[in-house]
Amino acid sequence: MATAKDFSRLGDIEGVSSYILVRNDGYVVSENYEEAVALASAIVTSGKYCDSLSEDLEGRRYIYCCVERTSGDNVLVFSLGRYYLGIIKHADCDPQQLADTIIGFLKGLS
Amino acid sequence: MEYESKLSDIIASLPEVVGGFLYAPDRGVYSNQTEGIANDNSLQQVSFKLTKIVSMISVHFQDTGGIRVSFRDLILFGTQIENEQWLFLLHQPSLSAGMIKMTVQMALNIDVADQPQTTIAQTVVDPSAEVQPNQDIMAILLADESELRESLIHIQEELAQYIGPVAELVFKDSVEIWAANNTPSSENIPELISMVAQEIDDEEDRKSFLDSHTSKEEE
Repeated sequence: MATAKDFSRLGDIEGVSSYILVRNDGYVVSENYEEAVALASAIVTSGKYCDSLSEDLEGRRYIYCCVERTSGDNVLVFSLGRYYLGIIKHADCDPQQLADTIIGFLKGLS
Repeated sequence: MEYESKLSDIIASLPEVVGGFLYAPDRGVYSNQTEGIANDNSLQQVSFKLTKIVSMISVHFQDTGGIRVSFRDLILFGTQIENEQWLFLLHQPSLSAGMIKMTVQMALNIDVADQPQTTIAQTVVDPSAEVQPNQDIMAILLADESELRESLIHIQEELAQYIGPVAELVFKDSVEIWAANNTPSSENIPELISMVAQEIDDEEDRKSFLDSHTSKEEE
């Protein structure tokens, strides 16, 4: 089973500026972002909204969501059961490529 | 009307785009061109949720633009176009983010990366503004003279026992959706309870929450 320490390696992935792993009650499990506590509820609520999208779109399974920013430092939200992972990416990194890398990393943990 | 025809043009110009629709908070979903992928009610929920996500993230990062949600076989892309109106497109994953942005930009003759920044930032520059839509309906429903006050406070307190500190935020969002789709009344409270229960992940906890409210109604 993955531990918080395993998730700390997210910070080493190329293209990841910051990450925040939050339990569904808002508790921050692991992060390398100074405003993590403030951002936690937005990540959890965004993840819950995205989880519920499958009910609206004929059972389609949500993989991740990306809030785009003009700076390019987009915010990605992944749903991990009772946890939600927020990633702030580097501006010069391709979001789809980074998402694929993150998904591969998460699969490696399970 | 202008955006409706432009939406049609975008859909026609890219074979990977399987549909699209327009949304405005005060008008709901209009110009549903999704060819049966989803009905207006479903798209209403989708639009509400996605614009809410952007609004929440905007509190922390004021340069937010659009949103992209990746599903296994489909990507849902949304961008704010004007006066809180949103354009959403459903497209196949093979279509790149750059291509879809460029096409929208050309069709609407706007910079989709820059356009939303000002309008979103204006509405969320003060973090308290992010929850403004909820505050209005919540303030009305929780007023001293409201017949629903006691019930709503009780549901929220009970929810907090199961999901913790995010209960207040989750409950407000649920009430907003509930009030938008139902007449807020004692008769419709079971609908709200059912919606709120979906926020409890643990099946046993969810059942316990529902049972406690069912037994209270029977009393």
